[in-house]
Amino acid sequence: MRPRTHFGHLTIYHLSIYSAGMPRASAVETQSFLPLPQAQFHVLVALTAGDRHGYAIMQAVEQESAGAVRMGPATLYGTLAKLVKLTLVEESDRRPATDDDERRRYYRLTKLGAAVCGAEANRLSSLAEVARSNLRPRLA
Amino acid sequence: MNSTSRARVYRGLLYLYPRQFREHYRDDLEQAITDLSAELGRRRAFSRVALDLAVTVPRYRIEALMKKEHTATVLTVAITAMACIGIVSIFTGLYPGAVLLVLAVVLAITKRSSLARSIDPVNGTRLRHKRLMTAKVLGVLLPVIYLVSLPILGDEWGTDATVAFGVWFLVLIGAVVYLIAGLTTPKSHTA
Repeated sequence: MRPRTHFGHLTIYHLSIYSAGMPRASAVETQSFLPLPQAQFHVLVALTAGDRHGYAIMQAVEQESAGAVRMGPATLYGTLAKLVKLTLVEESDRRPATDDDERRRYYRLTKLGAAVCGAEANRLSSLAEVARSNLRPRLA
Repeated sequence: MNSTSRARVYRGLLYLYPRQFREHYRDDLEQAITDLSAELGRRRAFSRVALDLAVTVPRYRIEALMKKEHTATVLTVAITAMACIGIVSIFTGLYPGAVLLVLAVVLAITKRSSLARSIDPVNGTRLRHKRLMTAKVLGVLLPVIYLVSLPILGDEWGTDATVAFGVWFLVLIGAVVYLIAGLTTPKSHTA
């Protein structure tokens, strides 16, 4: 039974606007990061698959963009430094590969990072939908 | 060039990055070049890294300069440089350069609060002393430059004379700027 309050004939049901699976970052806080620079979005997307070290992120960005985005090492680490500063990404102590070089640093998405990545994906998706719908008559 | 010397060159080039970035990511950057060389081959790896260096070094340097704590310094240098170039251009007959002088004045007025905040009241006396001392040194340099440049000044105004006058004039501007900055810097109030 949902909690409710009665005001005479009026009944107010208490509903949470967040679903259980949603990261707990406020919509306002999330929106303040948008639109994300392309490099930052690519790195966040690469980290949605799990914790990765720098070089693995570089490879993932190249693969996921079908070779269109090729990051150099300094571009990648500069982007990571900004994302860590914005608390969208954090360094991870967990090492998914046990035989890996100990000096490698792994990175993971924070809850805020996941929320911002999702919000940016939705924003781009809506924008793509507008573009597709506007271009449909021209391309038909 | 073999791979060891290339790696050494790359390690050396990392010094072009701002210190904070370099110290935090040096190992990662070196590891990335090793990984890239293993995957793409040395030539392709180093060409990608060279391009990356060319793009990121100036960007990260500018970003480091534009950090909050450096903004006032950058502003002061920019305003002084624009004012100096503007004044020199007026004296040398390049009147469109006077726009820079106007820009310097406008920038100084609009950014006055940032410039005022750059004066640390805790070290006010020290800063004042430093600025006045710089003005004194530049003031002493003025007659020295004049005396040194006397032998190269002939009857006719040539390139040497223009260069000597340019240097003398810049030192004069510097001395005036530091004198004004020193005199307007408040002394610290000790309890």
